Amino acid sequence: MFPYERSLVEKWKDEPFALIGVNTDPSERLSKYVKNGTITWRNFRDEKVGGPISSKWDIVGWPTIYLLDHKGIIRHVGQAKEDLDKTLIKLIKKAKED
Amino acid sequence: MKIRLAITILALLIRGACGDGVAEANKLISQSRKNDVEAMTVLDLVADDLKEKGVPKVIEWVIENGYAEERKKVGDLIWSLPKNDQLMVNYVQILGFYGERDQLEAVIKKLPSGKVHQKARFRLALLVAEDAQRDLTLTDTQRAKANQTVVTILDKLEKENDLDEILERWIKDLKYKVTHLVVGCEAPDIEGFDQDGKKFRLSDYRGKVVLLPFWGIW
Repeated sequence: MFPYERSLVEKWKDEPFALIGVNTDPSERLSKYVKNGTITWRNFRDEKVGGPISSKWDIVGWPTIYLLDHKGIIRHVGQAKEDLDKTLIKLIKKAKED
Repeated sequence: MKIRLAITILALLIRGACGDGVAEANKLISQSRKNDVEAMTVLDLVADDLKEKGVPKVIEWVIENGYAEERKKVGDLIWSLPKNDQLMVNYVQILGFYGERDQLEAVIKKLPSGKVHQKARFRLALLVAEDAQRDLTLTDTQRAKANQTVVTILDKLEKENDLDEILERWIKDLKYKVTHLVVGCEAPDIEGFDQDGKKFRLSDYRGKVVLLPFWGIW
């Protein structure tokens, strides 16, 4: 599970990049996947579908992916799994320039 | 399959025997709710009647019970009929959240005011907002302009004093969304706990590009 996400974390570990999840699983389940090495990134615990964070962000489909630039501006919102490499390269480059 | 065939034959017989057979079709549709396809078959049978007379009973039924594809089907049929106000009202009632942008614009132009008019305008705002999000070829300026269109529609709606409670909430939610949660907005901060129980904020990561998936295993 989640090879793409793990590869991003690994690939950009020395760059101004962070993968921060908002996770809707019960916290025991999340902990289990963190312990066994499936999840290699930090998460906000939202603990259930329609949890307080997801509700505030009006998330209606899972997974929904937000991409923020280094100033915290939303640069992309997506529903499906997609290749974000090009956009990431551009945004990371910009972050380093500023 | 057998049941569907039986219903089709029965509907055909009724149609042959009773002329338009609309009341019976109506009954059949309600009974066949277990399977979408069966309801669609019956809708096929009454499609000609719908074209000729509008068939209020079928329209009523679809308004109350129709699934998305049934709504779309009857909505398209109504759209193909000569337009009058009652049909336009039915059209929006049937389509609810399934209407297309140009069709909604026509409905809005045709109806002077009222609850259906409000609903249609809200739905239009929603579609404009969705399009602005999905279209990746838009520049920031173009997207901001589309979002501004949405806010203008919502601001005007919000001022009307006879809004349904639920519509009022939808308006508020959509307005929050297009002013806080779309491309070009500064992301709302999140404060919460990580998997180790440590408190942190999204804004702790300013200076970094952040990929923020809302996800779960279930």
